Amino acid sequence: MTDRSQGLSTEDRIKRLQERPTAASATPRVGRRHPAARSRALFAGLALASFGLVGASMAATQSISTSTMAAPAPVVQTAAAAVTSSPAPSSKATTPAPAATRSAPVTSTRGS
Amino acid sequence: MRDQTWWYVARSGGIVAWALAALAVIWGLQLSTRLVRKPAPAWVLDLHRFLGGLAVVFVGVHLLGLALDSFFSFGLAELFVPFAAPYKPAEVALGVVAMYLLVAVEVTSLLMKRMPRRIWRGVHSTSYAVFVLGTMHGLLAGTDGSNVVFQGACLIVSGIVLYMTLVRILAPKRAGASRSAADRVGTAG
Repeated sequence: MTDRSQGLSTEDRIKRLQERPTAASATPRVGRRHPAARSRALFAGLALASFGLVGASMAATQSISTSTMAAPAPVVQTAAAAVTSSPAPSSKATTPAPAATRSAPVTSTRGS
Repeated sequence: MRDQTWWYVARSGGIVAWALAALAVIWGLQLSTRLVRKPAPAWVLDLHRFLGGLAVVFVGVHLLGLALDSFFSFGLAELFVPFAAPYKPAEVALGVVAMYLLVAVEVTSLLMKRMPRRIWRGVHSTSYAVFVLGTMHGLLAGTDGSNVVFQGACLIVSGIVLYMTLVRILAPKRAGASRSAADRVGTAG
């Protein structure tokens, strides 16, 4: 390149350099920066959709298991209430029931 | 159900983060092995970077869900210090270490042009550890570790990663050639 440019004057060399297409002008800059722009949007959408879907399926599974476990729970409560004679512990026994319904499936599902 | 919303956010966010990290590793291995000939290296590299970044975002969602869940009182220490968690400390620590490595990989990738190539490559190779630790964390610490669908997904994805890694190790010439092509794309992009 230097051999070829040796015969040229300074003005000619500058002119040649200015006329030469640069890498930036040869290809559009926007297209080069994110070649997978559409795929990016697709994967972002898929990730968000699967996030919602997985969370919803977890909630659905939990509600099904809670509803199936809800039937024997009052039997336990009534048994506990029957053992205790005073009315105060019976109200105490009904208070932890929501906590028990949460902790029972939670320990079975969380502590896997 | 409402009191468990953050718990579902934490679990779902963790699973999606694991899947995205696994995809980022597979895309990275595709870049170096060129097992599938068709996709252009520039497209694979761009998506590889995006998937890694998206994995970090969903790790953040996972942490947010854990922090806001009322059942386990996960504070900053429990979330960011290994073995500080009240629940399965060793298994949770796997996830904490995987998170730090993932962040390190992402940060060094963003600063790739400003740092020595050897250091970047060394940190980037810990992506394998991110995948292994993240998978173990999901299977051992996570509630969904006993889920057959999740176990099957872990098995299939681990098999793909293992196969691609073996191809990369056993075919160094081909991988080297394509790696230099990937490097060219990386420096051009």
